[in-house]
Amino acid sequence: MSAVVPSADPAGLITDPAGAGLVRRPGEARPGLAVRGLTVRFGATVAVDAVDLDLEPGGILALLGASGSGKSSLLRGIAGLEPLAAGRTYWDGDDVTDVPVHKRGFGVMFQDGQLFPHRDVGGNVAYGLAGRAGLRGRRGGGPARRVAELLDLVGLAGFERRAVTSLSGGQAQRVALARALAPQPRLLLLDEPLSALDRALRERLVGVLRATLRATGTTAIYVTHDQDEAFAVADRIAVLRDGVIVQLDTPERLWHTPADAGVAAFLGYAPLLNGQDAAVLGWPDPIPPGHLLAVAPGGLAASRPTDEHDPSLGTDSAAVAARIVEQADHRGYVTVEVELPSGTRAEAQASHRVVGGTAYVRLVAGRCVVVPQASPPR
Amino acid sequence: MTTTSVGKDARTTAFAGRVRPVPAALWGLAALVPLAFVLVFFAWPVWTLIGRGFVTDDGGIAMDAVGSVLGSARTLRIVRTTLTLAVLGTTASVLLGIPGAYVLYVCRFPGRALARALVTVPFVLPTVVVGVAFLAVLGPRGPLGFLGLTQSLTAIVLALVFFNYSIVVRTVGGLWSRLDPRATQAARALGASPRRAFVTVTLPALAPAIASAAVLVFLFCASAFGVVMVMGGVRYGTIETEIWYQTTQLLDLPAAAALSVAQLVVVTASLLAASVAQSRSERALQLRGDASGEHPWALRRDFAPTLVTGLVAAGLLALPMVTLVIRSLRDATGWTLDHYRALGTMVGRALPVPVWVAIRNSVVVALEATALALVLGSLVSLVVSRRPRAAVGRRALRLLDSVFMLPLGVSAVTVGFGFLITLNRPPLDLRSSMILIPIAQAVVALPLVVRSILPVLRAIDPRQREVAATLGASPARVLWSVDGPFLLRGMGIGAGFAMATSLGEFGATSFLARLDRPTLPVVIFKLVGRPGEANFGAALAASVMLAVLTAGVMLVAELVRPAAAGQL
Repeated sequence: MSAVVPSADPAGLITDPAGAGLVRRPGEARPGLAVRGLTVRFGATVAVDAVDLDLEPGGILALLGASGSGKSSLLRGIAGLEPLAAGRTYWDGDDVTDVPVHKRGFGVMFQDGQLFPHRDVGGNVAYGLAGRAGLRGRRGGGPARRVAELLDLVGLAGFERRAVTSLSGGQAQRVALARALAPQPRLLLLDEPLSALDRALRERLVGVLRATLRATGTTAIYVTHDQDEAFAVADRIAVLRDGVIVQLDTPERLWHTPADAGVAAFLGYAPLLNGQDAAVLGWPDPIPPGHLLAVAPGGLAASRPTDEHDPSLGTDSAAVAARIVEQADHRGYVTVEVELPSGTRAEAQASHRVVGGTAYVRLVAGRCVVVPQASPPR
Repeated sequence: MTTTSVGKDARTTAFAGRVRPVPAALWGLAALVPLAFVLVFFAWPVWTLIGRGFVTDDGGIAMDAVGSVLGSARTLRIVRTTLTLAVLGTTASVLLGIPGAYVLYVCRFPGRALARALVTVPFVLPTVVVGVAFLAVLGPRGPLGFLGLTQSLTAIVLALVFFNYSIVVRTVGGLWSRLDPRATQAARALGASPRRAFVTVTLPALAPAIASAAVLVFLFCASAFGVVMVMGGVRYGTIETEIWYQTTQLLDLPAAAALSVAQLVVVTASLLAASVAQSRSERALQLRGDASGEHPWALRRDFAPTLVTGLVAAGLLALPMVTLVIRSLRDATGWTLDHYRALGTMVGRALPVPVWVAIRNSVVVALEATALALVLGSLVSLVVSRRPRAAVGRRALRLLDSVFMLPLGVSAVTVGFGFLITLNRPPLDLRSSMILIPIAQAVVALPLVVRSILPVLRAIDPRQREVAATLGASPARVLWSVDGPFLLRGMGIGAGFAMATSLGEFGATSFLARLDRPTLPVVIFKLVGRPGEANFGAALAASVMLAVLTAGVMLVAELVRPAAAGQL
């Protein structure tokens, strides 16, 4: 038999980027996480549909998707909290699919923290230390120092004796993070860890989270429905839809080359223009059939023809007249909903409210990208 | 061949850490022990009892005998009395309890904790004590003796309300205080009057709690034994007292068995209604984890419910308890401790043993019964609170749950009677040993213990266990560190209920207590049944002792339960 054969056995496999075939090199285990064909079903519903995923040690991967896209189920499947209908999970080439949760070494942090109410902050953080370091040194300096270090890391130094019921939502999540990191999990799975918090706190804690994960060199999968969070935390982002990963890329590549119109819309591209509308708006190249022009926020500018605030627009011959439907104020800009000549409605941005019933709109180069209407069937 | 060997290695290591079916087997064993207990000490006696009602000595089906018992004028009258008492008692408890739930659980005022405690005391008072207390109020020399209500239906209904008022208050109040007030506020903002908002928003939300409380109260009223025995005399017999009468006085076992079957029908119907009400009340309501449905008490708004609740608390709840204590300290000439001194004696020749021996018997039996009920109840609660993924597993647990609720419905009298005809001969001849009483009391207390522990365990978010597992805790450590603190808390409350129930248990004990080893309730019943001021005085004093014992036990259970867990 030849040493190299196509095989479904993923221990030590190399995945071809196109996903066409799996090539194995015996004896060479791939470091980090490998997920193959992971499927989670709830009755007749397929929540996660044969997902393949790799994550190198130290990497942070965001699973981004709308609610119901299967991202939490995928996370729970990897953690071993949800039984798999099919598929295997590997760590450093070892099949861990049948390893019980508590021996797997994968930490989980939930949306609402799930701190143990009958233990104080220190007791919560130390919980995972007892199992690993053994009960011997429990009262010694080891675990106590480790707890102090972790609390310091998440900005809660000195909170050891506080009751968890006295914590604010943001503090509770930071304790939950410290607790999850304490046993030094080889993989940390975060299930919408900031979703229960208000926006301002979320934006602040996302920085704390990323810095903490980086400082500890933790390999992590971060589930979120919030695009900004995913972009702020992860080095790679997987976009899930209907239990399938539709795109997996670095944040930068994801933003600049969305895999299809659905991904673009989910990331915040709007409007998605067909070839006719794009041409009317002066897009120089023809849009191939089955493709759309996705316009990033700010990619469609609106103005009066002779706008004294923005003289450059006054002479813009490419601008197209469009009927104004509605205008709304935002911090720093105004959105102008216009009706394009084809009848399509689109939201454009302007620096000021446009006076009168007609605005002149044009596409801003570098803020538009051509995307396929739908991903090719798998 | 090399191609497969790597894969094999990977799988071998995986299998090394695979979950073995041991935990499942352990859970099975944990379910088996209490199941066996309930089978032997509950199902078998009750089954035999039913058989005794229907099967003649030569093995034929004796429908005639059943028919003649159930069709007799006496039985019809007794069934009618039972249902009348139950309906009246339930209606009054619910009507009075709803304002009480509002005042004590929704309104915030200083001294509320004390008021709640006062309202709860009657629930844990032994039935015999309640009967004696109402006799003390309504009897010839009592403060309300002029009403001439002794041995009347009204008197019994009042005593039943005394008992069951707190069930309504606590069940309805517990839900009410957690109702999101914004639903009512929304209705008011839409132009509804306070009255309309209450009828259209609050009342429907409370309906499940009211229904489930009502069914429970109906059940307790329909199977009331001690109160009716003490207060009903011969005029108002219920099915329960009639079973006792036929068994112990007329020695007509087939008739008693037929009546037990009738009682089972009543109880099963109530339980079915209860489970329907329960499943409705578990339907997701807009509940807040905190008690944010509360608001400060305000005279104008809360005047009417406060007046009703105050009258109930003073006239119906406090008066009998206070009268009991005062009259136990008085005789015809004035204040005296004679009644208490009599507790050291056999009260003339009325009793086979001094009262204090009966007290000791009661405490010993109650400790045994409590230990038994706690161990079994904890096992049941731990098993039933699991959440298996398979639908068949969940169904099995629901079935198991209802199996352990059955003793709640089957009256203590039926249990005692069943023991009498089952466990007094081989293979299990336990009649001569004292162990039957604690076992019977444990059967009676088991549902209460399970109801104390199970909700606490069920309230644990399953993700708490998941998070513990991801932090490296083995299933045993998860059980100990996540379920454990909650279990302890539930056990504290459960122990209080079990001990209080056992101390006051009269239904089953009245069948099983040996003449020379009576418990305190049995002694009190004996004393009340005898004429003479001295006997009644001793009964009053003994009732106070029993009341203090049970109330004390409940108090200790509240105090010793883990403080940290209490904050939950």
